[in-house]
Amino acid sequence: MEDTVIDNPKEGLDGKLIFKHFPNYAKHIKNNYIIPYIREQLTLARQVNMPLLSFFQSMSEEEIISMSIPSHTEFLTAVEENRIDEQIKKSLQLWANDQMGIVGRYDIKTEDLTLSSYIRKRALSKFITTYTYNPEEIIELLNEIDTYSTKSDTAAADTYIKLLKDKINEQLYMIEKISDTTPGLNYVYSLENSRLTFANKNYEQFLGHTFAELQGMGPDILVDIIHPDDLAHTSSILATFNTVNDGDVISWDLRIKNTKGEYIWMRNYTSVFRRSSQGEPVEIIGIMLDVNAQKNTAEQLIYQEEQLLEAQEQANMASYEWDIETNELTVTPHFLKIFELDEGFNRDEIMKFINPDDVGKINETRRNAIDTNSAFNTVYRYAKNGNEKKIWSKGIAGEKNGKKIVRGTVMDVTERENMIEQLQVSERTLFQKNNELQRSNASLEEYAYVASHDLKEPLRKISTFGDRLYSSQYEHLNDEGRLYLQKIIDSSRRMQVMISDLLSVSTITGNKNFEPVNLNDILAEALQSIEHKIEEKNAIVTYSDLPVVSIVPSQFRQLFQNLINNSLKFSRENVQPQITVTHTYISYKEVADLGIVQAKKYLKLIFTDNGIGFDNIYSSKIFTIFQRLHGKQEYEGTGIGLAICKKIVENHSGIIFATGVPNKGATFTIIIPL
Amino acid sequence: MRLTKKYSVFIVDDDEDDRESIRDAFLANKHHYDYLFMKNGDQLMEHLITNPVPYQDALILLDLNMPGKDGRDILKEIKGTETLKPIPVIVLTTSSSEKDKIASYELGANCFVTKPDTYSDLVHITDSIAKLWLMPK
Repeated sequence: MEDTVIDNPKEGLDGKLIFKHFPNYAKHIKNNYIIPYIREQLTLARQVNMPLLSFFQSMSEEEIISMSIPSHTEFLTAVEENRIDEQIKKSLQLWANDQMGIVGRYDIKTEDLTLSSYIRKRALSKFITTYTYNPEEIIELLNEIDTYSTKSDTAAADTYIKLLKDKINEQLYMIEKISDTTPGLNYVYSLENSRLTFANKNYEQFLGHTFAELQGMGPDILVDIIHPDDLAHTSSILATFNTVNDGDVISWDLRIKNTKGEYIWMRNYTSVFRRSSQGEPVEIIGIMLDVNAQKNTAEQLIYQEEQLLEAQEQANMASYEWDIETNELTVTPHFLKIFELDEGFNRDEIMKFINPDDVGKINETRRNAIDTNSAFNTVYRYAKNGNEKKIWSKGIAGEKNGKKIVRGTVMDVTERENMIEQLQVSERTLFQKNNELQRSNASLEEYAYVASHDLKEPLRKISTFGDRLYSSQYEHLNDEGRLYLQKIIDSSRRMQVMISDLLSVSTITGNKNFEPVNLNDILAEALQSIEHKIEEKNAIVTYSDLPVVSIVPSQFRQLFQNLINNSLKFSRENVQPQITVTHTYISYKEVADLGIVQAKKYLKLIFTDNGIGFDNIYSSKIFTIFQRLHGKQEYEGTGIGLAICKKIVENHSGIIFATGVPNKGATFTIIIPL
Repeated sequence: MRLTKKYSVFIVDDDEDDRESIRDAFLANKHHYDYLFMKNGDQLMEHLITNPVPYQDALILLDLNMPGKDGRDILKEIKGTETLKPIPVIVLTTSSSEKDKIASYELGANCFVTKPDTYSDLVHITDSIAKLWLMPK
């Protein structure tokens, strides 16, 4: 130590402290006064109320002292060996590294630092008089203690500041991290100059705007990024911050525009961040969360509900929920209209206007539904303002939040019920008319029978007795008498034929005994029955490959027979009659104009002859009953044959028409649906 | 043609003119039998029961539509009675309907003839009936 003795304690070349008296003095304390030295420090610490002491509250003084001996011994040894810098460094290292046992790194306060410096100085000074009485030595020793203390304090302050800085940095880092990792958009907005003063990184990610861009918008920022419809609302909320307390969070929804020009629904939570010295809010801090999906769903729900309510109104219906305990009814808007009620009505009011005859039924069905948690379905009459309405009520009893409720719908079915009633009336009328028609058909048949029997009876007698008169009195009659008698007989016979014809026409309709038959066979049978006429006229009838069709066979036989007969009858003199029967299938499109029933497919049968034909102006007339184009003298017959044809075709839901060319021939076309 | 055997021809018809016309038509061809006129079925049945005739000597010409017991009822009774069943019954009616024809044959009619519109036809018909059923066997 001799070589490093200094008069005034000062730093060495490397900044190390070399002491002259302090080492020996430290050795002196260590060897003779270690316990009093520690106790003195403890006493002083108590006197100045050192905050650090609170960590040792549970320990007795002796415990604290014995616990402290190693560290103090170490310190005094370091001084003794002039390793004080090393010792300061080491102890501060322990502090910085949080290796101080009970006391945590951040438990040490600035107060602790200044007080410990004071205590250490006092404790170290206390034992000087036991070490030396030399005043010069005492002063030098005190100086050395002071130097050490200053050095130690400075180093401690450095460490403290460094620790503080680390801690602040750590906190700042954490805040930044939190801000950047938060799902929302954080911002600070200045109310003073209407600018954004902070925005976290999420803005860039979420909206596409960087903080710089947002700041660049300046006071226009609200107008630039908020949906025009939400701007007024937002501004009014910003204005309310004047009256808002610190810590109060105000929240509202608004649409924010991203760089693509799309608006996104955000929910904004905002509170006052900074106030002026006068206490007025200067800045607000907020966080905005994306509620777009929620909002759209909510919007859709609102839309759907609006639609539902609209539909209910259109359908003249409403829904309700009836709390059975409180008798309270929660209803959709149209409910009031249906029941002609005002807001604030109660269920009893409705019951009052229900037709008394229906009340029992309502009470019973509701009670039953409530008892068994089941559904009910009733129609009742309701008359509030004179006009009786019919209400259809459907509902189901159940529980909601532990309360017994009935939930259901009501519908004003007055119009519908009236329509149904009207429909029933018309149905009844129709039924009556149908009955009448059937009766009249029946009486027509009866008439037909009477005609066939009773009406023909006297005619038959006229003809029979005329005939007898003619043959028995022939010689007694003159020519004139014979002619007159012959006319009587001819006319009565003719009338008999006409009556029979009329009857045969009237029985066509109504015969619906359809069966699938081969038209070739039907035509062959028809030709056979008029074989003699065909032979007599030497006619040629050609046909081939007619299809199988569902028809009334007897009627088609008659139809074919009549058509062939007609052609034979109206054949040209000295021209061999040629009759051709062909067929083809046609679609609805081709017959749509003809007023025929709709079907997928139609059969078209064509009968062509080379007879006398006719002028087409008569084409519709020829099917009329008893209609003749020619005189009785030229062609026999009553003019019933084609009328029967028409009837038969009509009975098959088909149509028949004819075209002719005088002296060339005629064509009869039959079209029937398949 | 004069026949030795006397046949009974029952003409059952509510129309007097027709009864006579039918008989006259038979007579026109000199078929001289016993012509018995019956206005309705009750008369016929009463007669057949009180004056039984051997079936091979009788012929019934039966109208269908008559007041009281009509032709169908009589057909049913005659053809349902063992002793009367063999008597030939010819339905002679104004009706020409299929329905009546089928019903008559089903009830056991031996022939169905629609009354003709002319007297000469009636003469032809009665002649052939006489030849078929009334010629001595």
